[in-house]
Amino acid sequence: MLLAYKTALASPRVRAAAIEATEFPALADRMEVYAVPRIAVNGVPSWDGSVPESVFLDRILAPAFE
Amino acid sequence: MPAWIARVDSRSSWCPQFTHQRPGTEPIGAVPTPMGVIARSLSPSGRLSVCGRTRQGMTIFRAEDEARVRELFDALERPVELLVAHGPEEMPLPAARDVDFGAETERIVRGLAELSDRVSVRVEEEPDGFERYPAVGVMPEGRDVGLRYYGLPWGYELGSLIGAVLEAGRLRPSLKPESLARLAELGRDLAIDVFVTPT
Repeated sequence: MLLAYKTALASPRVRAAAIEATEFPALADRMEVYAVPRIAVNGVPSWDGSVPESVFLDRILAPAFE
Repeated sequence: MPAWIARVDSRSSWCPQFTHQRPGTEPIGAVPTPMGVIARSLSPSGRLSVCGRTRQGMTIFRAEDEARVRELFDALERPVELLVAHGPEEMPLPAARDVDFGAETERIVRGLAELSDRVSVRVEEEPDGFERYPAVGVMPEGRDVGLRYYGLPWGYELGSLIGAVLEAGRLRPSLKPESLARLAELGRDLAIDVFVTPT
């Protein structure tokens, strides 16, 4: 989570939100949250688990999110 | 990050945690959370809902942890405002229903703001830019730069909210230079949502 926040602080084009899955069950179902952390980018569920900084950047900057 | 925040007291495997490395050598991107410490003081056993009633004041930490968080907050390079957003709440899972999420969120955030003059709290009803409630916006110098926590920040997620405050209090981003360079080339907006659980 901290990495997502650091990224949002570093760029005006990025925003980051932590969403407590048990408190928003309808959304968690829609995003198929079974394991946490689950990361969604621009509303698209993308991966589960914490990753190192460079991998995080690789994934969020991937062309799929244009 | 100070060693205490990375200390893992519990060997339980029920949540993401570091491999057992020396403090200061954790993998980049791992979330430093005082799991054993915070989880014990905010367990889901119902202590959360009685905490404010049976104890004097608004303590949400044990004394030694409070002192350390105070120290960290006092050292913030710029002040950080925490905006507590209240509004209509989605029905949480049955086990959690006896907790008033909005009230507890406000209590916890007020508790954090009381620890230092560098951290302030503001409460609003359905402010712009919030999609669900309760929520906390972390705003460096009162500016909304898109940092949100949706839900009640308890259990080890309180550690990540504190981490967000510490990061927001930095004057310069703490990502690596190559990461900053890559972000500078970003040609579109990104909304990153991270689904978490506090236990």
